[in-house]
Amino acid sequence: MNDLDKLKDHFKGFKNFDFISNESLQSRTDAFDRFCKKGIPNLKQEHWKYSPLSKDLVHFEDLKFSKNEDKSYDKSHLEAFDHYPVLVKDGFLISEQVSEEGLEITKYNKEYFYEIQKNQILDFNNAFFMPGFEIKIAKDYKVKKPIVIYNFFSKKFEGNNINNKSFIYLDKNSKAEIYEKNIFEGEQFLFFTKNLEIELEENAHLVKYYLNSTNKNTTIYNFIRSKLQKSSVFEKFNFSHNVSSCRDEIISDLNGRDAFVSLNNIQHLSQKCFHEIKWEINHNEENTKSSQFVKSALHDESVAAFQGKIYVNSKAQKTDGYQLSRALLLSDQSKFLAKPELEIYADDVKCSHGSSSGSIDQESIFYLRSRGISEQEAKKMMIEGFLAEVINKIKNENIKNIFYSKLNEINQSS
Amino acid sequence: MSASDELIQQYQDRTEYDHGFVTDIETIDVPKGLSEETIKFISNQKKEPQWMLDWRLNAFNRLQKMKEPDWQKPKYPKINYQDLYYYSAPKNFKDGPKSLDEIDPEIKKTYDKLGIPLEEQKRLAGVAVDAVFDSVSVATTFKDKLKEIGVIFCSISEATREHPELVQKYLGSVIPVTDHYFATLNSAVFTDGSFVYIPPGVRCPMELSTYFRINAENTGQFERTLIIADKGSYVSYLEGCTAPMRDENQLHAANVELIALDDAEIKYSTVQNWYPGDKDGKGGIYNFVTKRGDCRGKNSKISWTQVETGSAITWKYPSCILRGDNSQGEFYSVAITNNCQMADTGTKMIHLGKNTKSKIISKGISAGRADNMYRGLVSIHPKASGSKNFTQCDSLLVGNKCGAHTVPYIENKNSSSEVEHEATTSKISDDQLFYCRQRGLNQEEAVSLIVNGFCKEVLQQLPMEFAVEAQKLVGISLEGSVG
Repeated sequence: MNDLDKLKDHFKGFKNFDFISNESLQSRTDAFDRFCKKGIPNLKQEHWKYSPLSKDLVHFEDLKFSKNEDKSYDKSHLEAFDHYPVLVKDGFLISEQVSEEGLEITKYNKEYFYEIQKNQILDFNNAFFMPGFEIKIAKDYKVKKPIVIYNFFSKKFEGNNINNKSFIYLDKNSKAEIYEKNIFEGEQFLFFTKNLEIELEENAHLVKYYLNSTNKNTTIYNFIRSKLQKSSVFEKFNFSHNVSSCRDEIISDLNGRDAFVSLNNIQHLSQKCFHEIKWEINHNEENTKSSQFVKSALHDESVAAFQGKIYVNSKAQKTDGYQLSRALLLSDQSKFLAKPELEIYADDVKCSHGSSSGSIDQESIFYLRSRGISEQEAKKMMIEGFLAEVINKIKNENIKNIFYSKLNEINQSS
Repeated sequence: MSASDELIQQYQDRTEYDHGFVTDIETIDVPKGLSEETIKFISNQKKEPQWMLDWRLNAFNRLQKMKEPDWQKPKYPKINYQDLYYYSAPKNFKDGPKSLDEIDPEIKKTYDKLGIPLEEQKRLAGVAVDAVFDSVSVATTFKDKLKEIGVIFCSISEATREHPELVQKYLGSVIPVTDHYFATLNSAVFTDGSFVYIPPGVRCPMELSTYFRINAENTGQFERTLIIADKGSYVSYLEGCTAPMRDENQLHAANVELIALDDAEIKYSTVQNWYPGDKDGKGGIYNFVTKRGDCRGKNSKISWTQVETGSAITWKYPSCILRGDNSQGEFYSVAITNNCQMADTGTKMIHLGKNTKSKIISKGISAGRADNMYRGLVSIHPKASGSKNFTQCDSLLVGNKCGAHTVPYIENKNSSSEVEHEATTSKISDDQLFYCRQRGLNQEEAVSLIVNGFCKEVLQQLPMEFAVEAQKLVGISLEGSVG
């Protein structure tokens, strides 16, 4: 409990930051109390069973909070293709606000709080968050070029904890593509929690890409809650590599007929990387559809965990839920942990999940070698082919290329 | 009313519990409650040696420090352990029956109704029965014949007295005293159960079988079964359960330990038909059983087959610890829940040895307001190279008030091992029904055919003697809708 005593002092100091509005103060205090009550995540709590966050990587008593006033950033990281940049540095939105036609990008000011019983890190985020961005797309507006979110983590940042909250809203019949990536300038320890809320109105279509990587000492917690109305579509493509320790958590509520959510993830991990995915899809209405697709290639001592859940409530007849996780274990020390879960209360549904893990198929290697390809080359081809299945689903050529070149880059270096 | 609504209605109206009768015989009971005195009383009644009593008390002390688990899906009202009886034996059997003729006619009638082959002529069926009536072994048949080839098949209390070296060596070696709450409770107060020892190189010539019956009201049944298959031996063991109708919930917390040494094989089959409670979920058995097998030797094999149709709550995970190299574990399960029944069952396969293999086939059928859950763990440890697992969990839902859940845990920590898991959830489709009915089957026959096909993979695994009964049971469970 001593750990938390020290954190309580930090919280008192944190309350003095200028970005904290008076209205949110009470909600933050409540969230912090909840966090203290639930305590730090540990392995015995089912919600955190395979989580790196329960592995004592983060010492809550040593967390330092800070605000970086410096708004400069390295422009070389900006993508070459035409896009709307959203720059977030050390937790704060630093780029110019955009307001044109149907697109609005502003500082986060929603001040909306909610609780998830088992999730104390969300409470932690709610207590200590800094305002991120808000993206709003107006009715019938199709955003012409992708929006790119850059998360900069500067060398000069004095604290070691960043928590931010953001919000994406798509009104009826609108469409947007969002690409997000992390840029770490330093090697210092950082505990970063990101809380993103997504709301899709009727017939809205959001595609989100995320290139997830960190420095060697960082622990990331990504939390997304998405709510989908009638006929809306949410597609997500994640590429995780070199994440020292990360938990990706998505809760997706399908609240309208014909809503569709598709979550895709590549984990290409090496060294001591630990990447955990926890997805929960709630089918609350009839005729909704979901798909979860995870592919992992694990080198060295890396660990990948996948916990996917399909929940079908008794109203949600004609649900189509699909889930597949496949892993390649490429070294003796790598591990793959999975918990694919189904919870179904409706009878007229089609739900299935599959999970497999193992090493590279030796027969295929033999086939390639008999055609004059070296063993190493053959292995690389196999890994590339294995992971490319996810990348191939991406429709945006620019981003597809980014993912492909990243895949090649990692493959060449390993 | 659509065809499927009709089906649901019929399913819910399934016939009254066939085995719901109470045998009227006198019993001697210990005073209620869980205490050292109770344990000493049980131990004394069983004429147990001191070490056994110490073992029980050790478990009891441990129990004081433990908490009842609460992570499971089926929730139940708190059990008052001080309000239960921990020992009850038919009074006129205090000294144990010497031959079949001595058996209380009432009890005999009970077994007859259940169709247990206890009588002489049933020997032809090749089944030796260690029938447990409440807590004392009523009769053990075929003992002599088994003795000839060196097989020991007796009640656990007899084994404690006559084969203490075996019991001391193996009891608690798979399910330690320090295990979870209900296993520890069992270790403290277990009353009776079966003990089987198959000597090296012996292939047990017949299926061994036990029938459990809970009779006296408010009696927790705490059975303990220990099966040891020595090197190169084989045994197939059958366990069947039926219980009379009661209004109050009864607790059944048994422990089953299997040990397979080098090249040995154990096949353990269960047909469980405890009283499931009435339509509104009143009454019924709490079936909280710990079953665990240890493939201790090389090339050993343990196979669990279970057909779970009864009990208000079934909560068990028959598991295999695959310790020996090349050892194999299998788990075949059919769980049928109806009305307010709940099942949280599955298995654990712990791969420790090299080239170990495991296979899991689980079929869950859920109707009425029932909840059916598969929960399992497949864990491949870093040293278990070349291991393989295949898991298949299928669920069938009848009606939209029931639930089917799958929660598998898969941990692969070895790169040369392969793990495969697949699960599906579906319902009896109108197409299938239409097809069958078109060919002249009535609604019930059609559903029966489809459900039987759904379970076939598992039912096939049962020994002949049991397969018939299991099919009958599936029939009873689905009667009115499935025939």
